[in-house]
Amino acid sequence: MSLISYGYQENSDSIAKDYASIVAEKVSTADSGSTAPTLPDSVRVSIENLYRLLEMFKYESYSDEQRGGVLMLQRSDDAEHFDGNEDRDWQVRITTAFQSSVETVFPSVERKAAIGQVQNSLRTFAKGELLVDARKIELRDFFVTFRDSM
Amino acid sequence: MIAKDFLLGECENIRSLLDSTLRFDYGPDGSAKFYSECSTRLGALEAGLRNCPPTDNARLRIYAVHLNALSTLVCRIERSSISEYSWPFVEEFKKISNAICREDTSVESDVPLLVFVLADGGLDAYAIASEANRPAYIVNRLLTIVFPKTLKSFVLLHTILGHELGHAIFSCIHHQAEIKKSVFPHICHAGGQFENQGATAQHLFSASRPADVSIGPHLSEANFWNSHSWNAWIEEVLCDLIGLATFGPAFVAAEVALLTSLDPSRNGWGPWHPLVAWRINLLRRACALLGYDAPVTGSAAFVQANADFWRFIDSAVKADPWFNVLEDQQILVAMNALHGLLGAHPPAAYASPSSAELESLFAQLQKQVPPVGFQLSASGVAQCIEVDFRAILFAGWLAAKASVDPIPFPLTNKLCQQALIQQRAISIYS
Repeated sequence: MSLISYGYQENSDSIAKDYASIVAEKVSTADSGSTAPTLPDSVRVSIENLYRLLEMFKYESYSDEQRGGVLMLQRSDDAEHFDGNEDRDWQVRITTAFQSSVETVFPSVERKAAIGQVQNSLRTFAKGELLVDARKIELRDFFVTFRDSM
Repeated sequence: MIAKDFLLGECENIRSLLDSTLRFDYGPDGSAKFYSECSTRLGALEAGLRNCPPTDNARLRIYAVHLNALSTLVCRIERSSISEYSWPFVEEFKKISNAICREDTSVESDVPLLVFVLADGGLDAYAIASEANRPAYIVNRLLTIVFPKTLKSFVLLHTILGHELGHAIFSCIHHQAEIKKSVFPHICHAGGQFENQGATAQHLFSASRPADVSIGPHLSEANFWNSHSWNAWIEEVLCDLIGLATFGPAFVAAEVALLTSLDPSRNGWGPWHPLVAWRINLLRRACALLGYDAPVTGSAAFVQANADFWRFIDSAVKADPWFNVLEDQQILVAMNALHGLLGAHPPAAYASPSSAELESLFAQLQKQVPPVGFQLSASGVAQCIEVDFRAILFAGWLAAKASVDPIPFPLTNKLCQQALIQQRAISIYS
């Protein structure tokens, strides 16, 4: 018997909110026109996760549940012991927040094009390349709106 | 305060454990990439913890859960060793997974997922765990391939991982979008058994269900999906088709061998897996539609072995039409769509070997030598021939299931595993 057992608690939106804060702050404080130094781990992880979330949002493909192996066949005749129903609430909350960011920061840009623009700016920033002020502001505002919508 | 200090201490413990993973032998690629990835994860968790107010219990709990996941992963890497699994198979398999399990990251486009291999457990251990896409303390996603420790050299059975590869492919966001557009509409076609949850439950509980398929007294058509995941069942069907599209008949043989060993009645299912017989019948029908079971020409022994192989597969097929869950046209269109997807990422898609190539491999096995693409011409000149490892494995199944002079299954596996190593060298010169 293990020391403690606890039910799975979905916290994707909470983590995403933290990541949006970290990236928005880092973008705001980055020097203009200079090559960024190596990013700290917390910023690298934040950027990567937000980039991946934008991919999910862009393609509307959120399925990522872990399944057992190919041969896992235990019967489930008793509904009480099943805990495999997927929690989709986090997907809804994140989609709504991204949608709000797109509408606020890119009011006249087509949805996929807007996401692509944010991803391009994220990539430029992640690689330590020059990000012009207009793009920096756009990126910061996008994730501030996302964070505040969560 | 105690929780935060304790978790920061655990960060130090994980760092020390992580350092020891660099000492081990994991195969040609080494462990530096895993070390780097895990170090970054740890760095992000530690930074988050340091900024976390000691009274923020909700956030501290999140860090505890993710630290725990990281330490579990590091322990797995630390325990894994190349000596515990069939590395010749893994090296071939990685060529496929590296070609298709790719995604765009914030710094690069089209990056392969990191593949990590582990040996554990027995018959039902086969799995590929692809890390979730949802937010977590990770940079690059890891694919963890799990082989049964008891079946280390049984490379013919390892083709079952074609199914697991399907899950990994489906977890790649752009592939998932493509599959939902071009494959799911055919699996879930209007009027079919998988059109929606209601249609599947209706079929399962229909009066035409054979008497030996029993359903527990607590389950009904109305409450069935409270204890089973319909999405998971559809994904399982998809992954069976991807297994076939990746490994061909050898995959079907492995699925038949393993599923019928674990569920001899083939009437079982699970919360995430549809009926075994539905799956086997579907794969067998797909093989017929793709022409995999077409008569072959060649020596009498080779022709007979082919017939024996398909007889083995057919022995697991249920005759009652209730077990046939997709129509021929839908199977064909879905398979064509999958071949299109896999074909764009060579060498992911299975290509049938010619009869002559297969017969040559089979003939070598009959002499109990590793079946490879090498021969001496009449004038004594050595010829090195490129052979796909899946052709070697199919030839292995033919030799193992032959009714005349069958090669014992463990020996066939060892010969085929040797062949994978030798073919690796031969391919350099072909």
